[in-house]
Amino acid sequence: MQKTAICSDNVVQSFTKILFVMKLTIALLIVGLLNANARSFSQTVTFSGRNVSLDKLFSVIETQTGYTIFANKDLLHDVKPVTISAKNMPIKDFLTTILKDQPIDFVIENRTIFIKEKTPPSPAFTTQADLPPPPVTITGIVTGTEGLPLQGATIMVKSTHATTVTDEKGHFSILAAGNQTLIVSFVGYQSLEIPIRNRTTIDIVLQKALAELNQVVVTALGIKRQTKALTYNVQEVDGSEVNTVKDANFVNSLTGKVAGVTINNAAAGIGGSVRVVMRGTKSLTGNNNALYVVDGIPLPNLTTSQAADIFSGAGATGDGVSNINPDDIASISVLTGPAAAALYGNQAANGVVLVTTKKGIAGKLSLNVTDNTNFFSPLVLPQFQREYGSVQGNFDSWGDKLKTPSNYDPEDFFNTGYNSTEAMNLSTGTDRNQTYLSAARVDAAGIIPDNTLSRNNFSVRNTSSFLDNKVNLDLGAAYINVTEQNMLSQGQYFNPLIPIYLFPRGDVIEKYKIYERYDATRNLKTQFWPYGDEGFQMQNPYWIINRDFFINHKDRYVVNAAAKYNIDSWINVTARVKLDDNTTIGEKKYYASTSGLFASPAGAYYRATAGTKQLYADVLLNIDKALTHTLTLNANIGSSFLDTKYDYQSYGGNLLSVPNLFSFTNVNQSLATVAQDDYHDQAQAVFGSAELSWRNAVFVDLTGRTDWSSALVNTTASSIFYPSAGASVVLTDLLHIHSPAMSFLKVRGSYSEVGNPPQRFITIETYPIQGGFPVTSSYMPATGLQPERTKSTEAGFNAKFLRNRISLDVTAYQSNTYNQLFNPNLAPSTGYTSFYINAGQVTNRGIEATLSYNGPLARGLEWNSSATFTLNRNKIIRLLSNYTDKSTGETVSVDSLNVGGTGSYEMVLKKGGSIGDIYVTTLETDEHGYIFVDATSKTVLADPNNTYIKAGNAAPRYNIGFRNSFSYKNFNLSFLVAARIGGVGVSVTQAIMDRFGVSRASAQARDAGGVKVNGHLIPAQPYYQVAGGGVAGIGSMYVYSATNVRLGEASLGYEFPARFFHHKIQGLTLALTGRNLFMFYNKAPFDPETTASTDTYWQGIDYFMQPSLRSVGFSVKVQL
Amino acid sequence: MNLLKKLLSGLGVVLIAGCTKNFQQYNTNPDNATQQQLQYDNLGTGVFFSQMEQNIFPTAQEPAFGDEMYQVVQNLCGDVYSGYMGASDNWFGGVNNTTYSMTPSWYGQAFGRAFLSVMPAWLSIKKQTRGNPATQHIYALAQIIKVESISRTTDMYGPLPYKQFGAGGLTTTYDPQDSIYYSFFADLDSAIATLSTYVQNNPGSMPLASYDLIYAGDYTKWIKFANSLKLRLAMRLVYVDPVNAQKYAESAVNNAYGVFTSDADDALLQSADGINIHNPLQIICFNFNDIRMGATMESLLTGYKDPRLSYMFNPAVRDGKYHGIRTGISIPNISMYTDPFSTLNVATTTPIRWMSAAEMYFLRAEGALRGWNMGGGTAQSLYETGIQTSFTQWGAGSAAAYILDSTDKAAVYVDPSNSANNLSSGISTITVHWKTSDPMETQLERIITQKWIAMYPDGQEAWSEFRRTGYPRVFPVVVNNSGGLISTSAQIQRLPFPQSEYQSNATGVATGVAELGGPDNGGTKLWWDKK
Repeated sequence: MQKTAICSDNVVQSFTKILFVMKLTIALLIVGLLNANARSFSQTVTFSGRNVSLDKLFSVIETQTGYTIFANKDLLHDVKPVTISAKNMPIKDFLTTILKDQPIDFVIENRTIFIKEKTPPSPAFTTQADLPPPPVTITGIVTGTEGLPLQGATIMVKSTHATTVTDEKGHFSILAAGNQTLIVSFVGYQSLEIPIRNRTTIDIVLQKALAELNQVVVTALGIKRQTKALTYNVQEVDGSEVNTVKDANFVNSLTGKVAGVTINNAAAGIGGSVRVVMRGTKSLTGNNNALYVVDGIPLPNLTTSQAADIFSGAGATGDGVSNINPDDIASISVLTGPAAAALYGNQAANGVVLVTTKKGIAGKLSLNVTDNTNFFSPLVLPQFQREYGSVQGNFDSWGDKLKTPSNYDPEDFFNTGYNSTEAMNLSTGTDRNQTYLSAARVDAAGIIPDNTLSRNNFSVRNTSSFLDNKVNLDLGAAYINVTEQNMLSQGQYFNPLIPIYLFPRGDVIEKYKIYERYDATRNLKTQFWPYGDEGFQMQNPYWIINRDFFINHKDRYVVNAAAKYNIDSWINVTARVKLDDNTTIGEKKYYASTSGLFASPAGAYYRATAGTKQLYADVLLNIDKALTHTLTLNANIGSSFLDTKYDYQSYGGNLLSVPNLFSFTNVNQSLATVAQDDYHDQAQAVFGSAELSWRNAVFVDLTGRTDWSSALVNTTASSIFYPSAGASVVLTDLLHIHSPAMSFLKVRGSYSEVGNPPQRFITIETYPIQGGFPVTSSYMPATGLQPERTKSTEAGFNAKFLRNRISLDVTAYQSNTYNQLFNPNLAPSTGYTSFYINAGQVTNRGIEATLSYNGPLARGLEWNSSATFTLNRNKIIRLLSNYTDKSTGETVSVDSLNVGGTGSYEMVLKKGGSIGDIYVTTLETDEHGYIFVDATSKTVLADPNNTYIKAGNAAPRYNIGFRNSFSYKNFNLSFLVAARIGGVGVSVTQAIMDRFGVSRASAQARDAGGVKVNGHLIPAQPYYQVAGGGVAGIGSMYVYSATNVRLGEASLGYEFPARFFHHKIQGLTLALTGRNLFMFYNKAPFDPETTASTDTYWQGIDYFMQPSLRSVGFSVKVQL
Repeated sequence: MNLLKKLLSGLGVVLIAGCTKNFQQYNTNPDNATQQQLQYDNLGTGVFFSQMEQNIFPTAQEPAFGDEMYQVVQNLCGDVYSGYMGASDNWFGGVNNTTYSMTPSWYGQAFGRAFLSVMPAWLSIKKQTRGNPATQHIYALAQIIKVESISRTTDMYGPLPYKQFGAGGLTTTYDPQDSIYYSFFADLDSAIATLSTYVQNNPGSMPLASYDLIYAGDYTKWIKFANSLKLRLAMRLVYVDPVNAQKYAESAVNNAYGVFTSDADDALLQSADGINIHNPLQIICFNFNDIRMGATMESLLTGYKDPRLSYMFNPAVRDGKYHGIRTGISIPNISMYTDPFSTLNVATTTPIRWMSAAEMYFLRAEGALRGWNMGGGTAQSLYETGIQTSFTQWGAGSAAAYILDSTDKAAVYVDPSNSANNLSSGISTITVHWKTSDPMETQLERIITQKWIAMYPDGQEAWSEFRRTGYPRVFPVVVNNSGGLISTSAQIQRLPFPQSEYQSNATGVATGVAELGGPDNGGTKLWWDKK
């Protein structure tokens, strides 16, 4: 093999060569497999018996052929036992024989046998004379809830059993009297009874049957699996769940709907990033957010740097997944555990959100147009006072009680935000070729004035088949364009909320709304804010929103192609390629007279361009094969290639001469900042999985993957192997339990190992360049690193009761992440700020459970309810223990590690503690533990020893989501209650408001004659100057429980049937929707589910965060 | 499972193994210099001089945030504690270093600058030159710059994890300040000897010309700098070890190259060699709007009608007069302390003066006052030459009349924004004119007061000398938020050790606290502070 030839620098070229080699290998494999298994390939049945029940015969067919039989139990009421003797009889003949005199018939599709009602010979046989009203021809269309026509649906007249089947366009025509009732049924949908009531045209919409037993779900790499075969927990969310109450970032719509997941939205308002942590944080220094996968292919990691200090937070931006058009989503599978995701190798440790997008459907052209309009207001604000004023010229509000309360209300600053989304999608196609087109436009404005977001999504997808269905092609292209302006999450810099919240109550805000005044010497308007920055980098809040701009433009192109070749009915090979190219341009424009900390008198201008280009390709051989009468193999073998290039350049600085001319040519070149940051990562992998099923009731699943990653250079391993194994047993099938009370029971268990290579670059010592000259590195060079590894086990069961109406899924898991890449801070005395080492071990254990009910509540009233429960316990088993430094032989242990904070609030990792533990400063206490009060000054003091006490953990103890949907006739009402129990947060906002005397607490204290400390009143102002003083106050005085219960979503919809419009349009749905409507319970002065950072740390801290949004709106959906 | 692993690995070898050879290249940061590249053009030693020189008075720009660093390392520390300048901002509601509530994110930075930016660069040079006699001149220069850096640092904190630095351990024990100081003299002596030999053997050779921002590689000037630094540090010991103080001071002055004698000798950090040095004081004063003239400065300069005043400060926008701000006051509204007060007369191109010839004359004057051999000249003549050298440095012309002024004294201080800060008692009564009949202590106050004016704006050195001698009479703080840890009258003595040391070098910092001989706060005196 010519190694050098294969290893061309040209990635695409080398990949095509890999593909070629892969093809050869697969061809060889196929030949081998064919030889090995040719004998067991059989579709015949051998059986003899007298008066055997059909149930028994069906299971004989299933075990001997590996086929699956779908049979609605109701259809089997009137069947008779059968006597038969068959030897190697083809399956079709066997079925025809045993069903000959039965009221049922069968259809075979793709190794699945559907049992259906037998079509009576002809409606003409009904005795018309017996029926007083003469039968008339009734016509109509049967569609599914997605609006697409259903071909092959059965329509039967209830009393006469006259039956017909819909054509390819869903049309039917049947003879029936006007006082009779039609029964409409279709595989995979709930049957419906419709009284005719003398109509001649009836359009019928069938609801999807949710508790379908042999449901198929999408798993890793887009591989479809029977739900009952899964050895791990996969939760499916229908596309409608993220579209009914729409959010600009669809991930927010998963809140409360999936167990085992903690979702926190960033405080950046509309379109902000979302923090999604599955089964607890595992990695001390790595990424802990879930991986997003669209149609089997991982998305590039487009997360952006997050606020992690008291300053930053202005100019935030949404993550890559926030660009996805929710209307394109057909369904979402959530793989919370590593076992489910093991085929993704090193990216899988944190779980996966798998998105399956829509594609064109054969049938008539269908066009959907939707409009969603939502209005936003702040959900939780701190409480302000307006009774006490300020001393003239002072910024704080510790003045006298006002004669009439101030009419200043910080809430007035906020606008009513809105988000208007118009989306259309079109689906058309024939049996051979289907096309899906979609376009969407989002226009949104935040609650902070001048915060806007707009997004355009276009996508087109074509699926086609050739050569008698031997070859399937799937081609797609998408373009996304996003513009964000002034997204703010928190912090001091450019945060208008600080001056707005702290504004002196004795002053009049109207004066400052004219935020710029004419400056005669400069002949331009300059900022009016005589108060100065007050040590908080404050500016005039109206200047900030109108004259300091943070604008991000994103352009993203995605093209993908997949080809599938069906070698035989049981084997196919798929190849996929996807290129995802994302460019973000971030601009900052600070107008002349912006605070000198940020700009020269002429202003400042910065512009940064970041490009991420990801090429993914894989080849996958899929085998679905009956090995013996009872044993079926479902196997995949493949190889993948992932190449990511990132380039970042920025330039900018203070403007030199011309005010407000935002151009590089006007930047003060000698002081300009220039930055460049690039990387090129490559990972290659081979993987395989095998699922063996025995009697379609016992399943064993094995997967393995080996990764070669460029970040492994100079580590102890050149590749990493990740295995997983699992088993599941459908007890109801295995033991032939067919009781209506217990309709299904499966137990399952799995084990997996996944992991992470070390961070790129750290194993090769280099010297950063500053100002054109190399400088020493801030970290010790890393040697002898190993990849991080997570070993996890999970076990669970799925049970369904009362004819599948109630289902309960419970999973218990444990994961152990060790060999963690650990980046502890070093004392400055070492000359380095940090070093890298494998150490640290973190375990997570928990339970995720879903209980749901799906069925009628009363006549005509359908109730669909589900409750999710999430519990996770995180424990740091060790940090760095007994590490021996090579050069000195010195052995060190690190049992505590500070991972950042404000000074009053710190996140600290401690051996025996948990990731997310919050430590806070305290007031000085006396020898009895009481707060020390100075006898003469009557005030308290900050603890002079600066000791930190543990306040709690930022993560919840439990999460509960309770979702309900009621449908009655064409009305649908649904709501979601989301509860989070446990965890704490610290509000620096409240501390600083107290110090400035603008909080309600500070007014109440003054009214009461002071603050009660140790049971005695002490003067309020000096107390709050200590408790709310310093950098961020005394942390222990501002710790709040993060427990909260909210009405997370609500919607009320009405669906107009097509006949309402005389079939001019196919349907119209109107809905009133709401999100985050109100808190049933919340004791914190901020929304505890909102976070300033989507990273692992800087959680549970409110430093003037933008409030979360309450949203109320409506949606209109028209189907043409 | 094993079989699967073998199968996959086998497949992988076929498919991939040959294709990972670019991984080495992919995993090397393309925007950084490699070890190999550092061997070109003597970069491996040369560039680290620039790094050291840019971090003593922090100026390195983003991402190093030189201006912000200078602000917390120098400006909101020595510059305000020396009375040179007054803060016009009220960070954290006025509860910060200026009012003696020590802010961890500020007081830890000087330590970090020394040990994360200066010392690692020094260590790299040490490793590159170790064992090679031909490159010992390079190491000698690194030693001098190291002493300049660490002497300023130890005068802020006291004991430091200095001598064990770079030994490779993850924890480092602290050295007492006396042993740190004595090592300075040993290091300087050795460096002076090495460089003197090199200059004699290689006249005109300047191997580091393109990396040295201060003297463009002129070793002769560096020898003078080393002697001058030695004199400065020797004087610091005068109340704790007068014998050695005299010994080191005399050897510095009487060295063949001697100490600075004219402005041309001054060590100036300014743009050179493609590196832009932008005076951070200009940014802090005019862009951040955070600093103004100090009240003590106003009192002395206006009182003496000092001609240097307009070269150092600008009249206030509000009334065209000079007004300084006291350190440690309550600022309820920032606009009260910006426009009504005097900005600094500093431009972006103003060089940062590490050390001046004027300072040397005042040090020699003090030595002469103490009866030391200061290379000729009386205390009076050296004192007067010091004043004239400073006038020349500032471009203020002849100091003849100023030197003869025996009547003008420090002015009463009036705060135009808040009369509660006014000060009329306890301020200096010293005059400029030298009187041989005055007692020694008065003459010392006169020398130190003039040295204080001359050394502006290096507040760090001025604060150290104020602590050593008690002169000039720097105004005390009005608001003291230290909770009794720092005396208002004795004023602040030092900075606490950084929190990062407590977090990651707990055993090491414990030795530091033990060596300190008192609690780790701003009220504990340093080793040499014995007057």
